[in-house]
Amino acid sequence: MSNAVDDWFMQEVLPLEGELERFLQRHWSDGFEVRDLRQEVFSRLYKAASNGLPRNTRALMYSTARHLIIDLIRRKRVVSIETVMDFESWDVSSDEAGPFDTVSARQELTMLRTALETLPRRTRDIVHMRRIQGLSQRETARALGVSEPTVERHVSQGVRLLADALGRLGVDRGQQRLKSKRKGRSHER
Amino acid sequence: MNAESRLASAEPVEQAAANWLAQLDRHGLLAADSDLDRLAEEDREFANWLNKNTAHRVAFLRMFSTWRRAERLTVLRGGETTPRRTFIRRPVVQALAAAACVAMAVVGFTSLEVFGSRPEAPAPLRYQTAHGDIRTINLKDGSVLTLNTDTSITVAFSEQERQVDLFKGEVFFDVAPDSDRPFRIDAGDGQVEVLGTSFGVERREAGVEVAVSVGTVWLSNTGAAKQSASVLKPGMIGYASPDGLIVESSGLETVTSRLLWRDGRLRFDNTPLTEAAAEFNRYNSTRLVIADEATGAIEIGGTFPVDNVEAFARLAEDGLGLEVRYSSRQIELSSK
Repeated sequence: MSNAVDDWFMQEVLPLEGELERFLQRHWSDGFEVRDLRQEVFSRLYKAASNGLPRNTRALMYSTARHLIIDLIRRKRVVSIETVMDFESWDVSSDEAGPFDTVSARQELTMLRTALETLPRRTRDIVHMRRIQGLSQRETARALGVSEPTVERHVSQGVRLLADALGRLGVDRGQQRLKSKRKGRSHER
Repeated sequence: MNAESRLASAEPVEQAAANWLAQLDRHGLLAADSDLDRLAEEDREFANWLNKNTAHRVAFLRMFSTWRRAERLTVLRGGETTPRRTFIRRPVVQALAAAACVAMAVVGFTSLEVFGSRPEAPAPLRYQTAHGDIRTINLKDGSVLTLNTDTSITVAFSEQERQVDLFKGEVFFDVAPDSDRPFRIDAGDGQVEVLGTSFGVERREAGVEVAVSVGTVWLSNTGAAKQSASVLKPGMIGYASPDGLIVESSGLETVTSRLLWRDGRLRFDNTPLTEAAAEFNRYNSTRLVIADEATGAIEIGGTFPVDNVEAFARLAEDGLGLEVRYSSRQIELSSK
């Protein structure tokens, strides 16, 4: 049962990470780290989905993020007017572009390669051997003449940096879409 | 909802999740199809950490998903089989398996570099919609395509350009700006080129129609005796056919109503009933049939839900005084 929620989370929520961070950055730069907010939104989404998977994940994500921000504004009591104004004017529906992003295998590969290139050299080599060559950690350690705990440490660092880099690549994409949307509105007026 | 005034910090949770992933990976417990609950059964300490907090679980899922995605990079492996150099510092005889692995590792690094410098021909992706379906596709460059009913396209992106072939049907393009990579659409009789804008393109039996809502669009016709090209601005509708180009300044309102199908609606404005019926029939399996020419010439106006042909028929009955005959697959309209 929880398995279906796990799969949903990985397949439908995680690809929206970049979009979400961009949204949070725009609306709440005040006193909280974006990744803390993101963690809270992800947790709330996961809990909500445990009672039944949503039909529109993107819409649920934005409404969850909005609720979180409203909660925080209430708790904080004093909020700059700008934060509130900006938040009110946000047209969430323009970001609900509908079904889940379709990314081709080739685009995915390009994204992964770009992300891999952002890692520090040693970490990148180890991720490369472990993931691309399919060596075990022990074989990787032996091949490089380093200890297994060292390899494990690089794997840990590597996966974290990769997760962040892949999220950021999503951010760039979101930014582009947002730009074109805003341009669209001003022309129509 | 809790009343804490501070959010939990993500940093230590992410660190712990990554450490757990690395540790489970070291013990060979992570397979592509692993599920978390089975993993938790393997390691009690991990189970305790994982189930302590939803934040732990989502953080681990994030790392696990990343790690699984990274495995797709294995396609970069391949090519040569002769090792040039090895990292190994031990006697070569020690373990055959290990030596074989190292050989692969060295090959892998060289082929990665080759891959990086070689521009590849993009493999086109095909997207289709069935009769009555509307589908939105988010492309990686940030462009969003909305496919109308009964549409077929391919998408091929390279470093130099973004190419869409429209084989049949209608697409609304919201093109993300990229001045280095023009976006081209080939729709048979007409070609469109843009840098970043929003517009709809419909391929018909005879010709191609382009309606622009934002930005500037280059439209040209091809395969014809008369070749021409034109710039379309917002509010303009262009028709490309083998005979040439026609451009109308219809106004943004017309363009907007022309593109209402994206919301599942059709708008008519002094539209002959035959044309309105043809529009409905693009989306529905129940066909609207107009019995005679006089009925077909009646002009109607208004906005209708695209998939509710019955409501439209009732309106024709009540509002226009037409006779409506229902059968299993069609609705026939005639003058009394």
